[in-house]
Amino acid sequence: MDLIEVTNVSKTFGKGAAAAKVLNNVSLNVAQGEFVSLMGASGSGKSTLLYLIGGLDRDLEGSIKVCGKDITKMKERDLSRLRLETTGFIFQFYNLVQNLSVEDNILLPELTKGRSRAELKKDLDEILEITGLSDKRKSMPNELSGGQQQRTAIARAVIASPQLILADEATGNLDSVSGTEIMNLFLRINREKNITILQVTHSEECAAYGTRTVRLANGQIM
Amino acid sequence: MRKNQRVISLFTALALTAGLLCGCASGESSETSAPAPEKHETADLSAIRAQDDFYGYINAQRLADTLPAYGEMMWGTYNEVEDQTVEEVFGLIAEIASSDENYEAGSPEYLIRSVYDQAMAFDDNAAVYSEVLCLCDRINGVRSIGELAALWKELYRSYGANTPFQPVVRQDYFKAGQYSLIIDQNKGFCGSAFEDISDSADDCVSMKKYITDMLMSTGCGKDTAESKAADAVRLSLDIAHATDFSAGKVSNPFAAFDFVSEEDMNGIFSNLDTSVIKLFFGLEENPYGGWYVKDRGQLEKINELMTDENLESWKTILISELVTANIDFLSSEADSLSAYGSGEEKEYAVCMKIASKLFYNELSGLYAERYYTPEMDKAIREMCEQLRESYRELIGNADWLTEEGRAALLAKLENMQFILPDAAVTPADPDSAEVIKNSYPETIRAIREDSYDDSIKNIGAEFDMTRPGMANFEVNACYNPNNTVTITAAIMHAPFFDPKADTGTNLGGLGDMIGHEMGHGFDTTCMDCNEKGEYAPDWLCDADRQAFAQRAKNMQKYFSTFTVLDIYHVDGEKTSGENYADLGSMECIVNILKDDREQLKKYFENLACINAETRVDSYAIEALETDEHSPGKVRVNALLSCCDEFYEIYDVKEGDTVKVTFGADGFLPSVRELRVRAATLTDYENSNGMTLVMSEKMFKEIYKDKPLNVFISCSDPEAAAKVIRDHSADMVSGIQTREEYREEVRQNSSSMMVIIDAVIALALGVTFIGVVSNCLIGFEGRKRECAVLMSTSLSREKLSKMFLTESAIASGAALAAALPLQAFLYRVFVSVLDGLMITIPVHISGAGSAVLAVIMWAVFTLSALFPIKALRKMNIAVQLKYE
Ligand SMILES: Nc1ncnc2c1ncn2[C@@H]1O[C@H](COP(=O)(O)OP(=O)(O)O)[C@@H](O)[C@H]1O
Ligand SMILES: [Mg+2]
Ligand SMILES: [Zn+2]
Repeated sequence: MDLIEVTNVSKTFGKGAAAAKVLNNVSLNVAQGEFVSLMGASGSGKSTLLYLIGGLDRDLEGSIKVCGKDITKMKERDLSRLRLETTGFIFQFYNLVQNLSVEDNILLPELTKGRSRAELKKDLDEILEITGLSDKRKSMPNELSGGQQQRTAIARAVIASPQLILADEATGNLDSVSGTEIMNLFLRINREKNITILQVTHSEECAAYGTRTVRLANGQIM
Repeated sequence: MRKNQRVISLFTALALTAGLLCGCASGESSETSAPAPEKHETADLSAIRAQDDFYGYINAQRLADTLPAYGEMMWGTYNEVEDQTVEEVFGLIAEIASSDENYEAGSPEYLIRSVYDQAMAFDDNAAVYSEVLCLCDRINGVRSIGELAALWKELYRSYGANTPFQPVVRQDYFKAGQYSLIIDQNKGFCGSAFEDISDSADDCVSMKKYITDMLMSTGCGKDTAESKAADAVRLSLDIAHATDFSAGKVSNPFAAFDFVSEEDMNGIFSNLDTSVIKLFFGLEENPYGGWYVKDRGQLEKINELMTDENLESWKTILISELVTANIDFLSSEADSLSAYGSGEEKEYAVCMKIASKLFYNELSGLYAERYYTPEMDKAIREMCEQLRESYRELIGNADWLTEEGRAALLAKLENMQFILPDAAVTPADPDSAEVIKNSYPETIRAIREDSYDDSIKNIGAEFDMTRPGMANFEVNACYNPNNTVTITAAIMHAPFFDPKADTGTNLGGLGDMIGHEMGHGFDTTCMDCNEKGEYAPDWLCDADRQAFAQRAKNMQKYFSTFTVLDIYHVDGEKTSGENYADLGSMECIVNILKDDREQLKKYFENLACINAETRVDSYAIEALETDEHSPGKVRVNALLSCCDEFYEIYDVKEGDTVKVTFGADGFLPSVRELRVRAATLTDYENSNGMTLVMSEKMFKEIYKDKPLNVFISCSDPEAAAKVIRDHSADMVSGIQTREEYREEVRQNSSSMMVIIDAVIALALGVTFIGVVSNCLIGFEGRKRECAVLMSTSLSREKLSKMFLTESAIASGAALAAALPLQAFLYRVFVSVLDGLMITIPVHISGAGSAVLAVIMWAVFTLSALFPIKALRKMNIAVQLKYE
C-alpha cells in the first residue's frame, strides 16, 4: 500500500459556462519514503492537486487515499485530525504566523495538540539545529530572510513528525543559494527521518533532488 | 439674655425670592459685592467671606504675619497690650526709684523707692545664708511633729516656706460680705507638682535631685542628702496618690469646696490636733465654726502621714521649702544651688518682684493715678450704665422668664457694683512705713509678716466689697460672684479703648469686656447667686431654673460643634460660663447699637480684633482642656453665627451680585452670576405671615445648591403665590400647588421614560449591529491566518471554540468597563435632566441590572457565530494558494 493513492481525480473550478476543468482523471501513487517532485507549467494544476491531497480542498471527483484512508469520504473532523497528524505543509509564501516568534511558530502545532514546552524542548533543539535556526529562535518572522522563514516553516512541519510533507514551490521565492539549502534540508529530512516528500517545483535543479519527477500538463499526468 | 439659642436657624435677610437665587451661593465660588477691606491683600485671605468666618475675615492677614514668639504658647491682642503695660509699669517703678522727691513715709512711692534702693544696694547674701543655716539647725533640732508644725508656721509667716496645708483667708463665696477660712488643695512640694510625680518616674527623679541640692546647700553630705530626699519623695508620692486632681481644677467656687465643721475636722485630724490647723491660721478660736476644704482626701492623707515616724521626711521638706523660698539670696552662696539662680538682670528681677509680689496693690493704685484719666473714668461710667440699661431691656423682654424671675434678675442687675480703677488708689498709711527695715532681707521678711498678719486680721471682719479683684496693670476685668465687676486701667488701651475711636469700636473692646463680666452675673455658675451675690440656688423658682438649664444645655451643645484644627471639639460644658458671658455681652451691645448699622459694624470688627490670637497647635489642643474660655475664633464666630443683626449687615443684600454654582458636587457644575433683587429684615416682614425668610446657609443645607424647586407649606397658598409673583419678577419660573406639581412630574416621567426606553433599545440594536460587523470585518483580515492555523495546527472546531472564547472574554471585559461608565453617564444624564428642569425618578434595580448584564453578555458573545459560520464556508486552499 502506497502512502498516497490518487485515483481518477478530476477537479473543476466554477460552474456552467465558466466551468474550467483543471485536473482530468489524474492518478498518482507515492510510496512511503519517496521524494517526488511535481512539475508542470504555471496554471497546470500542480497546487490544486497538492491541496486536494492535503485535504485542504475536498471538492473533487475520484478518490484520494492517504495512509490507506479515503479522505474524500471522511468526516471533516476526522480529516483534519488525519491532516494534523500525518501531513506537514510548506508553502511558497511560508505562511508563518506573523506575531509569533520563530520558536513559537515551530511549536504551535504541537502545543495546540496539548504537549508542553518542556516535552518539546529536545525536539525543538534538534530541529533548530537541523534547520540552522538556533540563533534565531527568539526572532520574529519579519526579522528573517526568506530562506530563514522557509526553514522555519519546514521546522514547523517537521517537528510534528509527519509521515508526509507537501511543499508548494518552497523555493519559488528564494535565491538559488537559499534554494539549495532548502533542497538539502528536504533531502536530509527525507533520508534521516524517512519522511515522504511531495514537492511542487518549477526548477529542474530542485526537481533533481527528488527520487522521482512527475509532470502535469493539460490536467493530466504525462 | 438671649431669647433662645438657635443653632441653625432662620437667621437672615433674604426674602424667599432673593433666597431662591442667592441663598444657594456656594462657599467657595461666590462673592458678594461688599467692599473688601484694604488690609486683605493676598488673594487667599481676602477670599474669606465675612458671613462664613468673620474672625478670619477681619484677622487673617494680621495673624498670618504673626506667630507666637519662640517658646511662647500663643500670641494675641491681649499679649500685645500686656507688653505695652509691662513697659509702663516698669517705667513707673524706674521713675519712682530715680525720683528725688520727698515721698511721704508709708506712701506707695516711698515704699517702692525704699525697697528698690535696698534691693539694688544689697550685696550681703552671705548673711542671709548664715541666717538660713541657723534656721535649719532649729529645724533639725525639732523632736516632735507638734513642735515641727509650730516652727513651720513661723517660717511660713516670716520666710515664705510653703506649708503642707494651704491656709487661705478669703471671701466667703457662699456668704457675700464675709471672709472664710479655706484649706486649699496642696499642689506639690519643692517645686514638683503632685500631679506630675504621680505618673512620671522622671519627675520623681528630678524632685529627688532638687531636694538633694537644697539639703546639700545646708551642709548635708551628698549620701545623706540623697537618702533623705528619697524619703521625702516617697512621702510626697503618698500624698500625690491621695490627691484628687480633678477637684483641684474645678473652677466653680461653689462646687469646689466642702464646708468642714470643727467637729468633722477633728475627725480628719486624728493624728494631729485641730489646733495645728488653727495655728496655721494664727487662731485660737475659729469664728466660722469650720473650714472650706477643697480636697478632703488629701487632707486626710496628710494627717495620716503627720506622725513622728515621718518626722525626718517632713523636716527635709521644710528645709527644702525654706531654701526654695529664699533662693534669690542663696543661689550665689552654695555650690549645689548655683544652677537655681534666676539669671535675670538684677534691675528687671527687682522690678518684677515689686510689681508681682511686694507691692502689687500699691502699684495698682499708682498705675491708675498715672494712666487712668478723668476722661476714661467718664467713659467707663457711662458705658457701664449704658450696658446696664441694655441688660435691663434684655431681661425685661426675655420671654422665657417668669415675672418673679424677671424681677429677681433685674434686682441683681441693679445691685451689680462696678469697681473702677480708682478704687485701688489708697491713702498713704504711715504705719506701713515700718516694713522698711535696715536691710533688704529684713524688709522682705517684714513685708511677708505684714501680709500674713493682714490676712489673719481679716478673720471675722467684713469683706470689703469695693476691693478690686485684680491690679490695674492687668489687661483684664473680672466678675466676682459677690456681684461686683472689677475693671482695670490697663484695659483702657487701644484697641480696647481709644477716646478717639467710634462708639461701636469702644463697645467692641472695653464694652465687650464689661458686658462679658456683667454677663457672668447670669452665667451657669453665678445664676446660683441671688441678687446680693450670695450663694442661694433656690432664689429662682423651679420654672426659671429649668428654663435656664435647658438654654444652658442648648448653648453647650451649640459650642461643642465648634472645632480647633478641624477635629478637636470645644468642650461646651467646660466653657459654658465664659460662653454665657460672651453671649450676654454680644446681645447687650447689639441691643444698644441695633439701629446704627455703621456702629454695629465697628462693634463686630473690634470684637473680632480683640479676640485675635495665634496658638501653637499643641497649646490650641491643650487649651480645650485647660482654658475655660473658648478659643478666640470661636468666641467671635460662634457668637456672630447666632446674631441676626450680623447677617443683616454681612450676608447677601439687595443689589449684590452673587456667583451661584449649580450642581457643585455633580460632574457638570455650572456657575452663574445673579443679582439679588430683594432683601428683607426678619422682624417686620415676618409679621404679615407670608414672607419666607431663610439664611443662605440654611437654604444650601436644604437644597444642596440645586434650588430647582422650593416647597412652601402655608395656610393661604393664593396669597403666598401672589407675594412670590409680586417680588420675584421673572425669576421664578412657575408656581404650582402640590397636586399640580405631582401631576406634572408624573406626566413628565412617563413620557420621558418611554423616550428613555426607546433610546436604550435603539442604542442596544445599533451596538449589536456594530459588534457583529466588527466581528466579520475582523475575521476577513484574519482569514489567511486562520487558514494557516487550520493547515498546520488547529481543527475547525477548535478554532471556532477559540472564536467563541475570545468573544466571551471581550464582551465580559466590555461590560465590566461599561459599569463605571454607566454610573458616570447616569449622573451626566441626571444633571442634563436637571439642567432641563426635568425631574424624573429614575430607578435602577441591582438585580435587574445584573440580569440585563448577563443577557447582554450572552448576546454579544454569540455574535461570534457570525465569523464562525464564515469560517465554515472558507476554502482553506484558496486562502493559502496565493499571496
Ligand atoms: N479557486 C479557484 N477558482 C477558479 N480557478 C482556479 C482556482 N484555483 C486555481 N484555479 C485555476 O486552476 C488552474 C490551476 O491552478 P493552480 O493549481 O494554482 O496551477 P499551478 O499551481 O500549477 O500553477 C489555474 O488556471 C487557475 O486559474
Ligand atoms: Mg501553484
Ligand atoms: Zn469671663
